[in-house]
Amino acid sequence: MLKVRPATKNDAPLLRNLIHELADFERLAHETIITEEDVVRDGFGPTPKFRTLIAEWDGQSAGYALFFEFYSSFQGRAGLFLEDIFVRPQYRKHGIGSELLAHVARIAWEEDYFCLRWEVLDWNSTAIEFYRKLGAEFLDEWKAVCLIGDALQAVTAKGK
Amino acid sequence: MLTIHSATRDDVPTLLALIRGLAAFEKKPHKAVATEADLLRDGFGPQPKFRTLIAKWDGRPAGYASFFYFYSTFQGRPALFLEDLFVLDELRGKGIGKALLAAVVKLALNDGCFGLRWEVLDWNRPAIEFYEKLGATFLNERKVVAFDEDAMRRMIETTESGSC
Repeated sequence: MLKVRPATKNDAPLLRNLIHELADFERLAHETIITEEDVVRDGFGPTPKFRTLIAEWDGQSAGYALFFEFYSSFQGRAGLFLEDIFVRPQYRKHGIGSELLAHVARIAWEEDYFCLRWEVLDWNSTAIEFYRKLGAEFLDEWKAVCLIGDALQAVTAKGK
Repeated sequence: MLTIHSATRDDVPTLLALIRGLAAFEKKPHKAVATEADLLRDGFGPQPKFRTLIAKWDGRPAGYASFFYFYSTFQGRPALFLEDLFVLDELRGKGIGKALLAAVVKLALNDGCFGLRWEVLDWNRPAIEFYEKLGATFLNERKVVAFDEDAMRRMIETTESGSC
């Protein structure tokens, strides 16, 4: 049986493991350096930077959803950004992903956020199909860009 | 001459005009429904949801950058998300966009952020080339997905135990 509950500080070791399992699945393990201490400091301090739901199937940890606020200057309202949604492979096909997403959508709805947004990897056709069936909109004209590492420092030098 | 300052409550009318200017440039003028009251409440209250830098050229508003924190679970650290970066059409080519971006990056580095992230429209070639020259990474395998309010409501209604 499925139970979805908010994560607490005691879940930090579990959450750290689940994040690394998601990174493995996304083939991004080499970029994933989060520690249990990071999880405790940033998720469960006085001003948490994210919120997390844990899904349990027959009492076993089966997956999680992690999200935080973002802002739309066009809307003049905040939305929720779903940073991670993950179900462990052995617990798939039980509707756990749907339930997690429904819980996050309910939070977004009840707390008056104008939308729920997230990203999906273009090769993850199972997830894409799943989101499409649920009525999600794909904002395909937007490209995600980032500045990290040396490029970040270089921009400030050039900005002088 | 260029100056850049952190926006204050007094800049809200200017900021709203610039946001509408950006929406018009993005061919989405109807999407910019924010009001001055929204921006005052969300940007300049006790817990602002975003921060803004305003660029002026010879004392005249020329552009802006708005941004806020997001979190990377893989990094275990926050980064800044650059929601908007815009320079008025008639003031382009003077390095204002680059100066705004550099000012945001400095704030990101001072705040211990691991990076800066944003999104660009796929038809905006000048912007894409500008970001490429600055060494930005394009996360081409990432697709942006959203539920609007109707989709959220359907999701809740069709999932029996969407109730908490």
